[in-house]
Amino acid sequence: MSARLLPAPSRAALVFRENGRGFAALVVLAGAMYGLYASVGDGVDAWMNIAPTLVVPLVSLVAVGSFRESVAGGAALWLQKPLDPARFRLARLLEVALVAVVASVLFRCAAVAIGLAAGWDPDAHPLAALPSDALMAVLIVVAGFGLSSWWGDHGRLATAAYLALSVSFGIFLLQVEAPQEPLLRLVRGASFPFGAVRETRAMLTGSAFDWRAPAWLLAYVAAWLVVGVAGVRRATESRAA
Amino acid sequence: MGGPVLATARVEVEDLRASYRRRLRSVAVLDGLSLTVEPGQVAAVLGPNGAGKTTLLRVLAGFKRPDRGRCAIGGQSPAQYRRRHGCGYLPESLVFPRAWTCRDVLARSADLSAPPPDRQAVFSLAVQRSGLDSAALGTRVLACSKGMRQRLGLAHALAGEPAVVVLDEPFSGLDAQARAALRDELRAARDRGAAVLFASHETAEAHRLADRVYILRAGRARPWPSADAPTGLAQLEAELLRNGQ
Repeated sequence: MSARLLPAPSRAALVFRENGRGFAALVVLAGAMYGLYASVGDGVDAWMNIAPTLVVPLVSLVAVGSFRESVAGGAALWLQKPLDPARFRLARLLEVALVAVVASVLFRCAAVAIGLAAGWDPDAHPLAALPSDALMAVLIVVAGFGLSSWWGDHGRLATAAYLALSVSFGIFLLQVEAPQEPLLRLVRGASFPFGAVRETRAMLTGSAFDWRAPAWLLAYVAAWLVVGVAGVRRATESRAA
Repeated sequence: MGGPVLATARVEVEDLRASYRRRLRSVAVLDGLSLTVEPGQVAAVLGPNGAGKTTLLRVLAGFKRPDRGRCAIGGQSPAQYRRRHGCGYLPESLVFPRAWTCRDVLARSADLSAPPPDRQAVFSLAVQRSGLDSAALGTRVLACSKGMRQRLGLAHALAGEPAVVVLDEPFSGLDAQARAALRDELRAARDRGAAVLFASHETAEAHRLADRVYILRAGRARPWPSADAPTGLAQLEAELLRNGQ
Protein backbone atom coordinates (compact mmCIF):
# COMPACT_ATOMS: atom_id res chain seq x y z
CA MET A 1 0.00 0.00 0.00
CA SER A 2 1.30 3.45 -0.91
CA ALA A 3 2.31 5.76 1.90
CA ARG A 4 0.65 8.63 0.09
CA LEU A 5 -3.03 9.44 0.37
CA LEU A 6 -2.95 10.62 -3.23
CA PRO A 7 -0.33 8.41 -4.94
CA ALA A 8 1.26 9.16 -8.31
CA PRO A 9 -1.18 7.07 -10.41
CA SER A 10 -4.13 8.90 -8.83
CA ARG A 11 -2.46 12.24 -9.57
CA ALA A 12 -1.88 11.17 -13.17
CA ALA A 13 -5.57 10.26 -13.39
CA LEU A 14 -6.34 13.76 -12.11
CA VAL A 15 -4.18 15.26 -14.88
CA PHE A 16 -6.38 13.30 -17.31
CA ARG A 17 -9.47 14.71 -15.65
CA GLU A 18 -8.05 18.27 -15.72
CA ASN A 19 -7.65 17.97 -19.48
CA GLY A 20 -10.90 16.14 -20.15
CA ARG A 21 -12.39 19.02 -22.12
CA GLY A 22 -9.27 19.43 -24.22
CA PHE A 23 -9.14 15.74 -25.11
CA ALA A 24 -12.87 15.71 -25.85
CA ALA A 25 -12.39 18.70 -28.18
CA LEU A 26 -9.66 16.77 -30.01
CA VAL A 27 -11.96 13.78 -30.46
CA VAL A 28 -14.61 16.07 -31.93
CA LEU A 29 -12.04 17.75 -34.18
CA ALA A 30 -10.69 14.40 -35.40
CA GLY A 31 -14.24 13.14 -36.00
CA ALA A 32 -15.14 16.26 -37.97
CA MET A 33 -11.98 15.94 -40.07
CA TYR A 34 -12.74 12.27 -40.68
CA GLY A 35 -16.25 13.07 -41.82
CA LEU A 36 -14.88 15.73 -44.17
CA TYR A 37 -12.23 13.45 -45.67
CA ALA A 38 -14.54 10.42 -45.84
CA SER A 39 -16.95 12.41 -47.98
CA VAL A 40 -14.24 12.86 -50.62
CA GLY A 41 -13.48 9.55 -52.39
CA ASP A 42 -10.13 8.23 -51.09
CA GLY A 43 -10.03 10.83 -48.34
CA VAL A 44 -9.85 8.26 -45.54
CA ASP A 45 -6.31 7.34 -46.56
CA ALA A 46 -5.31 11.00 -46.48
CA TRP A 47 -6.96 11.42 -43.08
CA MET A 48 -5.06 8.40 -41.76
CA ASN A 49 -1.80 10.03 -42.80
CA ILE A 50 -2.57 13.45 -41.43
CA ALA A 51 -4.59 12.85 -38.25
CA PRO A 52 -2.04 10.86 -36.21
CA THR A 53 0.70 13.35 -37.14
CA LEU A 54 -1.35 16.27 -35.91
CA VAL A 55 -2.86 14.53 -32.94
CA VAL A 56 0.38 13.84 -31.05
CA PRO A 57 1.42 17.51 -30.84
CA LEU A 58 -2.14 18.56 -30.04
CA VAL A 59 -2.57 15.96 -27.31
CA SER A 60 0.77 16.97 -25.82
CA LEU A 61 -0.16 20.65 -25.93
CA VAL A 62 -3.40 19.91 -24.09
CA ALA A 63 -1.42 18.08 -21.39
CA VAL A 64 1.15 20.91 -21.15
CA GLY A 65 -1.67 23.12 -19.82
CA SER A 66 -1.46 21.15 -16.57
CA PHE A 67 1.80 22.88 -15.72
CA ARG A 68 -0.30 25.95 -15.01
CA GLU A 69 -1.26 24.35 -11.69
CA SER A 70 2.31 24.31 -10.47
CA VAL A 71 3.37 27.81 -11.47
CA ALA A 72 2.14 31.27 -10.48
CA GLY A 73 -0.71 31.02 -7.92
CA GLY A 74 -0.66 27.24 -7.93
CA ALA A 75 2.98 27.24 -6.92
CA ALA A 76 2.22 29.36 -3.86
CA LEU A 77 -0.39 26.85 -2.79
CA TRP A 78 1.73 23.73 -2.89
CA LEU A 79 5.23 25.08 -2.38
CA GLN A 80 4.35 26.51 1.04
CA LYS A 81 4.88 22.97 2.28
CA PRO A 82 8.38 21.75 3.16
CA LEU A 83 9.54 20.47 -0.21
CA ASP A 84 12.02 21.24 -2.94
CA PRO A 85 10.34 23.29 -5.71
CA ALA A 86 12.38 21.69 -8.50
CA ARG A 87 11.65 18.14 -7.34
CA PHE A 88 7.98 18.99 -6.97
CA ARG A 89 7.76 20.27 -10.52
CA LEU A 90 9.80 17.36 -11.90
CA ALA A 91 7.27 15.00 -10.32
CA ARG A 92 4.54 16.99 -12.05
CA LEU A 93 6.50 16.69 -15.30
CA LEU A 94 6.47 12.90 -15.01
CA GLU A 95 2.71 12.85 -14.40
CA VAL A 96 2.02 15.13 -17.35
CA ALA A 97 4.41 13.21 -19.63
CA LEU A 98 2.74 9.94 -18.66
CA VAL A 99 -0.69 11.33 -19.51
CA ALA A 100 0.54 12.78 -22.84
CA VAL A 101 2.09 9.41 -23.81
CA VAL A 102 -0.97 7.38 -22.84
CA ALA A 103 -3.35 9.79 -24.59
CA SER A 104 -1.18 9.85 -27.74
CA VAL A 105 -1.11 6.04 -27.83
CA LEU A 106 -4.87 5.86 -27.33
CA PHE A 107 -5.50 8.35 -30.14
CA ARG A 108 -3.13 6.44 -32.45
CA CYS A 109 -4.81 3.13 -31.62
CA ALA A 110 -8.24 4.66 -32.25
CA ALA A 111 -7.07 6.08 -35.58
CA VAL A 112 -5.63 2.70 -36.60
CA ALA A 113 -8.84 0.89 -35.57
CA ILE A 114 -10.84 3.27 -37.76
CA GLY A 115 -8.34 2.79 -40.60
CA LEU A 116 -8.53 -1.00 -40.37
CA ALA A 117 -12.31 -0.83 -40.39
CA ALA A 118 -12.04 1.33 -43.52
CA GLY A 119 -9.96 -1.31 -45.26
CA TRP A 120 -6.36 -0.62 -44.30
CA ASP A 121 -3.88 -3.45 -44.74
CA PRO A 122 -3.01 -4.90 -41.29
CA ASP A 123 0.31 -6.21 -42.70
CA ALA A 124 1.48 -2.61 -43.13
CA HIS A 125 2.34 -2.44 -39.38
CA PRO A 126 -0.05 0.40 -38.61
CA LEU A 127 1.07 0.53 -34.96
CA ALA A 128 4.78 0.79 -35.78
CA ALA A 129 4.67 4.52 -35.07
CA LEU A 130 3.62 4.07 -31.43
CA PRO A 131 7.14 4.38 -29.97
CA SER A 132 7.90 7.53 -31.94
CA ASP A 133 4.50 8.96 -30.94
CA ALA A 134 5.41 8.39 -27.31
CA LEU A 135 8.85 9.90 -27.85
CA MET A 136 7.39 12.94 -29.56
CA ALA A 137 4.88 13.44 -26.75
CA VAL A 138 7.62 13.30 -24.11
CA LEU A 139 9.77 15.80 -26.02
CA ILE A 140 6.91 18.27 -26.41
CA VAL A 141 5.96 17.96 -22.74
CA VAL A 142 9.57 18.52 -21.66
CA ALA A 143 9.78 21.65 -23.82
CA GLY A 144 6.42 22.72 -22.35
CA PHE A 145 7.83 22.21 -18.86
CA GLY A 146 10.77 24.50 -19.63
CA LEU A 147 8.64 27.20 -21.23
CA SER A 148 5.90 27.06 -18.56
CA SER A 149 8.48 27.62 -15.85
CA TRP A 150 9.20 31.04 -17.34
CA TRP A 151 5.90 31.94 -18.98
CA GLY A 152 3.58 30.69 -16.23
CA ASP A 153 -0.03 30.84 -17.36
CA HIS A 154 0.99 31.23 -20.99
CA GLY A 155 3.16 28.10 -21.09
CA ARG A 156 0.85 26.23 -23.46
CA LEU A 157 0.71 29.15 -25.87
CA ALA A 158 4.50 29.55 -25.73
CA THR A 159 4.95 25.84 -26.46
CA ALA A 160 2.56 25.99 -29.42
CA ALA A 161 4.41 29.02 -30.78
CA TYR A 162 7.73 27.25 -30.29
CA LEU A 163 6.52 24.19 -32.23
CA ALA A 164 5.12 26.37 -35.00
CA LEU A 165 8.39 28.30 -35.26
CA SER A 166 10.37 25.05 -35.31
CA VAL A 167 8.26 23.71 -38.19
CA SER A 168 8.55 27.02 -40.07
CA PHE A 169 12.29 27.08 -39.58
CA GLY A 170 12.58 23.46 -40.77
CA ILE A 171 10.72 24.34 -43.97
CA PHE A 172 12.89 27.44 -44.41
CA LEU A 173 16.07 25.37 -44.00
CA LEU A 174 15.05 23.16 -46.90
CA GLN A 175 15.21 26.19 -49.17
CA VAL A 176 18.47 27.84 -48.11
CA GLU A 177 21.74 27.14 -49.86
CA ALA A 178 24.06 27.23 -46.86
CA PRO A 179 22.28 25.46 -43.99
CA GLN A 180 25.58 25.12 -42.06
CA GLU A 181 25.90 28.86 -41.35
CA PRO A 182 26.67 29.29 -37.62
CA LEU A 183 23.51 31.26 -36.90
CA LEU A 184 21.33 28.74 -38.72
CA ARG A 185 23.01 25.90 -36.85
CA LEU A 186 22.35 27.64 -33.58
CA VAL A 187 18.66 28.13 -34.38
CA ARG A 188 18.40 24.56 -35.60
CA GLY A 189 19.92 23.38 -32.33
CA ALA A 190 17.23 25.24 -30.38
CA SER A 191 14.41 24.01 -32.62
CA PHE A 192 12.27 20.99 -31.94
CA PRO A 193 14.29 17.93 -33.09
CA PHE A 194 11.95 16.59 -35.76
CA GLY A 195 14.94 15.14 -37.65
CA ALA A 196 16.29 13.22 -34.67
CA VAL A 197 12.80 11.85 -33.94
CA ARG A 198 12.50 10.70 -37.55
CA GLU A 199 15.93 9.02 -37.44
CA THR A 200 15.16 7.36 -34.12
CA ARG A 201 11.89 6.10 -35.55
CA ALA A 202 13.74 4.67 -38.54
CA MET A 203 16.14 2.88 -36.19
CA LEU A 204 13.24 1.43 -34.25
CA THR A 205 11.81 0.03 -37.47
CA GLY A 206 15.01 -1.60 -38.68
CA SER A 207 17.52 1.00 -39.93
CA ALA A 208 21.15 0.81 -38.79
CA PHE A 209 21.86 2.21 -35.32
CA ASP A 210 23.36 5.68 -35.26
CA TRP A 211 24.15 7.04 -31.79
CA ARG A 212 23.88 10.68 -32.85
CA ALA A 213 20.06 10.84 -32.97
CA PRO A 214 19.38 9.45 -29.47
CA ALA A 215 22.31 11.47 -28.08
CA TRP A 216 20.81 14.60 -29.60
CA LEU A 217 17.42 13.80 -28.05
CA LEU A 218 18.97 13.21 -24.63
CA ALA A 219 20.83 16.53 -24.85
CA TYR A 220 17.59 18.22 -25.91
CA VAL A 221 15.71 16.82 -22.91
CA ALA A 222 18.55 17.72 -20.53
CA ALA A 223 18.68 21.28 -21.86
CA TRP A 224 14.95 21.85 -21.35
CA LEU A 225 15.12 20.32 -17.86
CA VAL A 226 17.85 22.79 -16.95
CA VAL A 227 15.80 25.68 -18.38
CA GLY A 228 12.73 24.49 -16.47
CA VAL A 229 14.48 24.02 -13.13
CA ALA A 230 16.15 27.44 -13.48
CA GLY A 231 12.72 28.97 -14.10
CA VAL A 232 11.28 27.29 -11.03
CA ARG A 233 14.15 28.49 -8.87
CA ARG A 234 13.81 32.03 -10.16
CA ALA A 235 10.07 32.10 -9.55
CA THR A 236 10.00 30.54 -6.11
CA GLU A 237 13.10 31.62 -4.18
CA SER A 238 13.88 34.69 -2.21
CA ARG A 239 17.42 35.98 -1.85
CA ALA A 240 16.81 38.17 1.20
CA ALA A 241 18.03 37.15 4.62
CA MET B 1 -7.08 21.60 17.75
CA GLY B 2 -4.02 19.97 16.23
CA GLY B 3 -0.70 18.81 17.57
CA PRO B 4 2.16 20.82 19.02
CA VAL B 5 4.40 23.05 16.94
CA LEU B 6 7.81 21.38 17.07
CA ALA B 7 9.93 24.48 16.55
CA THR B 8 9.15 28.15 16.92
CA ALA B 9 10.38 30.90 14.66
CA ARG B 10 10.58 34.67 14.93
CA VAL B 11 9.59 36.77 11.95
CA GLU B 12 11.83 39.82 11.51
CA VAL B 13 11.59 42.45 8.82
CA GLU B 14 13.91 45.44 8.73
CA ASP B 15 14.00 48.31 6.28
CA LEU B 16 12.32 46.23 3.61
CA ARG B 17 11.88 47.54 0.09
CA ALA B 18 9.85 45.62 -2.48
CA SER B 19 8.75 46.82 -5.88
CA TYR B 20 7.03 45.79 -9.09
CA ARG B 21 7.84 46.60 -12.67
CA ARG B 22 5.17 48.72 -14.29
CA ARG B 23 5.80 49.78 -17.89
CA LEU B 24 9.54 49.21 -17.51
CA ARG B 25 9.61 51.35 -14.36
CA SER B 26 10.21 50.01 -10.89
CA VAL B 27 7.41 51.08 -8.55
CA ALA B 28 8.11 50.61 -4.84
CA VAL B 29 5.19 49.16 -2.89
CA LEU B 30 7.03 48.75 0.38
CA ASP B 31 9.86 51.05 1.37
CA GLY B 32 11.59 51.08 4.72
CA LEU B 33 9.11 48.67 6.31
CA SER B 34 10.02 47.04 9.62
CA LEU B 35 8.03 44.72 11.85
CA THR B 36 8.43 41.73 14.12
CA VAL B 37 6.18 38.82 14.99
CA GLU B 38 7.26 36.75 17.96
CA PRO B 39 6.48 33.06 18.38
CA GLY B 40 3.14 32.74 20.15
CA GLN B 41 1.88 36.03 18.80
CA VAL B 42 -0.85 37.02 16.37
CA ALA B 43 -0.17 40.17 14.34
CA ALA B 44 -2.57 41.87 11.96
CA VAL B 45 -1.65 44.14 9.07
CA LEU B 46 -4.26 46.69 8.06
CA GLY B 47 -4.23 49.31 5.37
CA PRO B 48 -6.04 50.64 2.33
CA ASN B 49 -6.13 48.86 -1.04
CA GLY B 50 -2.74 49.03 -2.69
CA ALA B 51 -0.89 49.67 0.58
CA GLY B 52 1.30 46.58 0.03
CA LYS B 53 -0.28 44.04 2.39
CA THR B 54 -0.30 41.24 -0.18
CA THR B 55 3.24 42.09 -1.29
CA LEU B 56 4.45 41.93 2.30
CA LEU B 57 2.86 38.52 2.78
CA ARG B 58 4.32 37.22 -0.47
CA VAL B 59 7.76 38.33 0.68
CA LEU B 60 7.28 36.64 4.05
CA ALA B 61 6.15 33.42 2.39
CA GLY B 62 9.28 33.54 0.21
CA PHE B 63 7.45 34.00 -3.08
CA LYS B 64 8.68 37.50 -3.80
CA ARG B 65 12.19 38.81 -3.66
CA PRO B 66 12.66 42.09 -1.85
CA ASP B 67 14.91 44.71 -3.43
CA ARG B 68 16.55 45.63 -0.16
CA GLY B 69 16.41 45.11 3.56
CA ARG B 70 16.41 42.15 5.86
CA CYS B 71 13.61 39.63 6.01
CA ALA B 72 14.23 36.57 8.12
CA ILE B 73 12.22 33.74 9.63
CA GLY B 74 14.05 31.86 12.34
CA GLY B 75 17.25 33.49 11.06
CA GLN B 76 16.83 32.17 7.51
CA SER B 77 15.54 33.74 4.34
CA PRO B 78 11.80 33.10 3.91
CA ALA B 79 12.39 30.79 0.93
CA GLN B 80 15.01 28.77 2.80
CA TYR B 81 12.79 28.53 5.84
CA ARG B 82 9.76 27.55 3.78
CA ARG B 83 11.66 24.84 1.95
CA ARG B 84 13.01 23.31 5.16
CA HIS B 85 10.06 23.71 7.51
CA GLY B 86 7.11 24.86 5.44
CA CYS B 87 4.87 27.78 6.28
CA GLY B 88 1.12 28.14 6.44
CA TYR B 89 0.29 30.52 3.61
CA LEU B 90 -3.12 31.59 2.39
CA PRO B 91 -2.57 33.53 -0.83
CA GLU B 92 -4.84 36.28 -2.02
CA SER B 93 -6.18 34.15 -4.87
CA LEU B 94 -6.62 30.43 -4.42
CA VAL B 95 -5.65 28.52 -7.56
CA PHE B 96 -6.59 24.96 -6.69
CA PRO B 97 -6.76 22.55 -9.62
CA ARG B 98 -10.33 23.02 -10.81
CA ALA B 99 -10.96 19.39 -11.73
CA TRP B 100 -9.87 18.08 -8.33
CA THR B 101 -12.37 17.35 -5.58
CA CYS B 102 -11.99 18.97 -2.15
CA ARG B 103 -10.98 15.54 -0.85
CA ASP B 104 -8.19 15.32 -3.44
CA VAL B 105 -6.89 18.74 -2.40
CA LEU B 106 -6.81 17.88 1.30
CA ALA B 107 -5.23 14.47 0.63
CA ARG B 108 -2.50 16.14 -1.42
CA SER B 109 -2.09 18.73 1.31
CA ALA B 110 -1.62 16.00 3.94
CA ASP B 111 0.86 14.18 1.70
CA LEU B 112 2.99 17.30 1.38
CA SER B 113 2.63 18.45 5.00
CA ALA B 114 3.51 15.39 7.03
CA PRO B 115 5.69 12.28 7.10
CA PRO B 116 3.97 9.02 6.10
CA PRO B 117 2.88 7.82 9.56
CA ASP B 118 1.12 11.12 10.30
CA ARG B 119 -0.60 11.72 6.97
CA GLN B 120 -3.91 10.11 7.80
CA ALA B 121 -4.18 12.08 11.03
CA VAL B 122 -3.23 15.33 9.29
CA PHE B 123 -5.82 14.60 6.59
CA SER B 124 -8.54 13.92 9.17
CA LEU B 125 -7.72 17.14 11.00
CA ALA B 126 -7.73 19.10 7.73
CA VAL B 127 -11.16 17.69 6.88
CA GLN B 128 -12.40 18.68 10.32
CA ARG B 129 -10.92 22.18 9.98
CA SER B 130 -12.45 22.69 6.57
CA GLY B 131 -15.88 22.04 8.03
CA LEU B 132 -16.88 20.31 4.77
CA ASP B 133 -19.22 17.33 4.99
CA SER B 134 -18.75 14.17 2.92
CA ALA B 135 -20.90 15.48 0.07
CA ALA B 136 -18.93 18.74 -0.07
CA LEU B 137 -15.64 16.83 0.04
CA GLY B 138 -16.64 15.07 -3.16
CA THR B 139 -17.37 18.37 -4.91
CA ARG B 140 -14.95 19.53 -7.57
CA VAL B 141 -13.16 22.79 -6.85
CA LEU B 142 -14.74 24.18 -10.02
CA ALA B 143 -18.16 23.89 -8.39
CA CYS B 144 -17.16 25.23 -4.97
CA SER B 145 -18.41 28.54 -3.65
CA LYS B 146 -15.90 31.21 -2.59
CA GLY B 147 -16.50 30.34 1.03
CA MET B 148 -15.83 26.62 0.44
CA ARG B 149 -12.61 27.43 -1.40
CA GLN B 150 -11.56 29.74 1.42
CA ARG B 151 -12.16 26.99 4.00
CA LEU B 152 -10.17 24.63 1.83
CA GLY B 153 -7.32 27.12 1.58
CA LEU B 154 -7.26 27.66 5.33
CA ALA B 155 -7.32 23.92 6.09
CA HIS B 156 -4.48 23.47 3.60
CA ALA B 157 -2.45 26.34 5.10
CA LEU B 158 -2.81 25.04 8.65
CA ALA B 159 -2.16 21.37 7.78
CA GLY B 160 0.97 20.08 9.49
CA GLU B 161 0.79 22.77 12.22
CA PRO B 162 3.33 25.19 10.70
CA ALA B 163 5.33 27.39 13.07
CA VAL B 164 4.77 30.41 10.82
CA VAL B 165 1.32 31.24 9.49
CA VAL B 166 0.84 34.02 6.92
CA LEU B 167 -2.74 34.63 5.79
CA ASP B 168 -4.04 37.08 3.22
CA GLU B 169 -7.63 38.15 3.92
CA PRO B 170 -8.44 34.95 5.87
CA PHE B 171 -11.96 36.06 6.82
CA SER B 172 -12.99 36.86 3.27
CA GLY B 173 -16.06 34.86 2.16
CA LEU B 174 -16.55 33.07 5.48
CA ASP B 175 -19.90 32.88 7.27
CA ALA B 176 -20.25 33.65 10.98
CA GLN B 177 -19.71 30.03 12.05
CA ALA B 178 -16.58 29.62 9.94
CA ARG B 179 -15.24 32.96 11.20
CA ALA B 180 -15.62 31.81 14.80
CA ALA B 181 -13.90 28.52 13.96
CA LEU B 182 -11.05 30.39 12.28
CA ARG B 183 -10.60 32.64 15.29
CA ASP B 184 -10.34 29.53 17.47
CA GLU B 185 -7.82 27.99 15.08
CA LEU B 186 -5.61 31.08 15.07
CA ARG B 187 -5.73 31.33 18.85
CA ALA B 188 -4.83 27.64 19.08
CA ALA B 189 -1.90 28.22 16.69
CA ARG B 190 -0.73 31.10 18.87
CA ASP B 191 -1.01 28.93 21.98
CA ARG B 192 1.13 26.29 20.30
CA GLY B 193 3.84 28.90 19.77
CA ALA B 194 3.25 29.74 16.12
CA ALA B 195 3.93 33.22 14.78
CA VAL B 196 0.75 34.28 13.00
CA LEU B 197 0.46 37.27 10.67
CA PHE B 198 -2.65 38.12 8.73
CA ALA B 199 -3.60 40.95 6.41
CA SER B 200 -7.19 42.09 6.40
CA HIS B 201 -9.73 44.82 5.85
CA GLU B 202 -11.70 43.40 8.77
CA THR B 203 -10.84 45.92 11.46
CA ALA B 204 -13.05 44.29 14.08
CA GLU B 205 -11.47 40.86 13.58
CA ALA B 206 -7.99 42.36 13.79
CA HIS B 207 -8.88 44.26 16.93
CA ARG B 208 -10.47 41.21 18.53
CA LEU B 209 -7.77 38.69 17.65
CA ALA B 210 -4.40 40.35 17.20
CA ASP B 211 -1.82 40.91 19.90
CA ARG B 212 -0.17 43.45 17.67
CA VAL B 213 -1.63 45.58 14.87
CA TYR B 214 0.35 47.28 12.11
CA ILE B 215 -1.06 49.90 9.80
CA LEU B 216 0.59 50.09 6.41
CA ARG B 217 1.02 53.53 4.97
CA ALA B 218 3.38 54.94 2.37
CA GLY B 219 5.22 51.65 2.21
CA ARG B 220 5.89 51.49 5.93
CA ALA B 221 4.29 49.64 8.84
CA ARG B 222 3.28 51.70 11.85
CA PRO B 223 2.48 49.82 15.07
CA TRP B 224 -0.92 50.63 16.53
CA PRO B 225 -1.68 51.86 19.06
CA SER B 226 1.14 54.31 19.42
CA ALA B 227 2.23 55.00 22.98
CA ASP B 228 -0.03 58.01 23.46
CA ALA B 229 -3.17 56.77 21.65
CA PRO B 230 -6.32 55.12 23.01
CA THR B 231 -6.82 51.47 22.04
CA GLY B 232 -10.52 50.92 21.29
CA LEU B 233 -11.98 49.62 18.07
CA ALA B 234 -13.54 53.01 17.32
CA GLN B 235 -10.13 54.64 17.58
CA LEU B 236 -8.60 52.00 15.31
CA GLU B 237 -11.32 52.54 12.70
CA ALA B 238 -10.87 56.30 12.95
CA GLU B 239 -7.13 55.89 12.49
CA LEU B 240 -7.67 53.75 9.38
CA LEU B 241 -10.09 56.29 7.96
CA ARG B 242 -7.44 58.95 8.44
CA ASN B 243 -5.12 56.64 6.45
CA GLY B 244 -7.57 56.40 3.57
CA GLN B 245 -9.00 52.90 4.10
